[in-house]
Amino acid sequence: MSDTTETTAHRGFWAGRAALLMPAVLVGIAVFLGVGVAQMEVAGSEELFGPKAFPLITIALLLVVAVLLTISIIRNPEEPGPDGENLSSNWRSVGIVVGTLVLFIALLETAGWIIAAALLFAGVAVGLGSRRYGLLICVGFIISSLVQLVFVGLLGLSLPPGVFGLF
Amino acid sequence: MDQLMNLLGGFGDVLTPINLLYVVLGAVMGTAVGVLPGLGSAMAVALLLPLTFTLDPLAALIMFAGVYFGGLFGDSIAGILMNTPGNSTAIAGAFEGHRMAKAGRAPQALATSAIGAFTGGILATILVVFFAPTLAEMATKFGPGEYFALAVFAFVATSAVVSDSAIKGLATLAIGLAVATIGIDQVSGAQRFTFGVMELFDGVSIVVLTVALLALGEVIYVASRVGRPEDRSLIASKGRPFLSRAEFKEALPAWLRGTAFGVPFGVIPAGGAEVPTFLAYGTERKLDRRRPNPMFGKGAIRGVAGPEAAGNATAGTAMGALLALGLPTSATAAVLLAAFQQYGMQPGPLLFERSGPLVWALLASLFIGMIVLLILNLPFAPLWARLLNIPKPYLYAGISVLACFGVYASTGSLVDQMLLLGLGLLAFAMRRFDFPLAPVLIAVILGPLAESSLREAMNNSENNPLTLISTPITITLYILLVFAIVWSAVTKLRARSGEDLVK
Repeated sequence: MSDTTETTAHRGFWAGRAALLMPAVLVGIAVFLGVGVAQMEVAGSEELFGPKAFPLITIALLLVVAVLLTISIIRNPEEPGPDGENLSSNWRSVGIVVGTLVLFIALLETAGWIIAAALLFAGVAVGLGSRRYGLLICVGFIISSLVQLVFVGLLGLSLPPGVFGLF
Repeated sequence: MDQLMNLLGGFGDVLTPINLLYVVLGAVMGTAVGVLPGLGSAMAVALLLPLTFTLDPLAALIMFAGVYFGGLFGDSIAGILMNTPGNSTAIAGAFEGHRMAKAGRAPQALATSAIGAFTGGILATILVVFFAPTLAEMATKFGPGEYFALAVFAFVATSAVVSDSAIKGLATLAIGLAVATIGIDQVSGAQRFTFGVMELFDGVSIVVLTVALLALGEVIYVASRVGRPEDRSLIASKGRPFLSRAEFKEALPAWLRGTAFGVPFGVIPAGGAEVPTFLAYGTERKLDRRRPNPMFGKGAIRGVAGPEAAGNATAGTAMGALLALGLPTSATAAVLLAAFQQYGMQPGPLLFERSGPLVWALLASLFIGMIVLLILNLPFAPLWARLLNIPKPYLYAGISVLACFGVYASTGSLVDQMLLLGLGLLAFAMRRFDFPLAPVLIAVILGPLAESSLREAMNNSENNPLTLISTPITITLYILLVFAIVWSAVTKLRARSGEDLVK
């Protein structure tokens, strides 16, 4: 008994309550909508149910749910599983994957699809635990080139050529 | 008998070698995406949408028919062999299906599921052929009040009734409603929440949203779990892939009962096939307990047959609701709606008059697609299962490339790539904290409909709220909704007090 209280005390307030991020997101969205409604320029007559009505209803819903959610999370924090299962995420992997996606966006229209997508493939695979870097880069280039060939060459979609467009 | 003639005309359009090729292509790709863990038929349609951009409308629709059901056939394979259902609709069938596989009856489980999917889909599509035009005619009498009631029904049903936690469901519903308001207001032309970014004038594209929520969020979530012990052992499926006569007889009533559960739910906007599949599963289990030799828990063939038939029956009638009412009742239908609009088809009451030949060709290709899928899945299910042997890093890296490609090909803008990443992170947070994703999609799809019908109704009646409940149809819908809420509250309380085999 005393053991559990000790661990709970030791874990601190935020342990098992990381989900409080979600009500924060809801409030953030509500603020975003609020700013937008305040700035909105409405032409013509000011009807009761104009373009602002629905966003205002949504803001109300967001705030009410955020409050209820906060109460429910504070009351019932997430408990670690019976076998001491670790609840925290592998932030290193998440970081690599998200970083790769950011890199992809940065490179897509500058370096072009083939390079950006090959790096995207390799990066996500590394993030998910693969360590065979050389092979991944090769597979990545094969996949991105195949997509380029099939969709741009055969089907006529357009993808950014990037550096390959210089030749 | 007009319908039969029209349908025959549709078959005439579809039964050319090149169009048949598109059906097969769609079925193969749909099944492939469906088999991959975490990706279901909604993703199959969203990812393959750009593929069809360069095709003519008829060929594209024909391909979608294959993709639509292909995703549903595929997602039960992972559920049965690995106990990781690709889609929430495949969960109910995976319980007994995985037990059958463990007991060495994997091929039979796969066959039961494929035939079940076929039965449910075919019967539901036949119903659509006969009743969709009638439904469309009925829908011409729908006013803004009716459409608002339908949207509200869908919102509450998906967020509060179907999901485990009503608050979490409402939270993601609100997020979806907020996303839905971005873009130029249809009625007044006012810019809303675009902050001058031109790419946002048309709102957030449904393809971006679906891919972000269902694919990218999943990839990031899987990354966050790297390094944990996991149980992903794939059970090999060896032996005869066909059912014996006794097995067939055993499964037949369950297929039919499952279909009966699935059919009505396709028309009700309740977020897809989760409810009917679990209802079918629960019914089969109850019936099983009364038998002299209960099979549930040991790999009951009926526990696979019922839910699988229910899932595809729902998908079949959901197509009917989409075509006749313009109302997407599931995430897959929502993405499909976006696809139709891309080709200038506006689903709804007038569709059968305006784009008759296209619609009937689509319905005909649904039938052909289902037959193709049965052939593809019955003997070759073990081959599909090989896809599950792809190492996880490669699989999810491939999915990421496909996701980013799909979004870029369909919108061609970097802003959408950033939105994709942002929404993907949001979806990761939702996955991590067990928030349901379906309400977001439903809210984004039906949000504009809800808003425009609410505004129309109110402005027509000088802001008298009673106008929303002034017709028999609206009153019926709201009563049904109250009934559903009470029913779900009661079953949730009961589930909390009772021990369950599943949990």
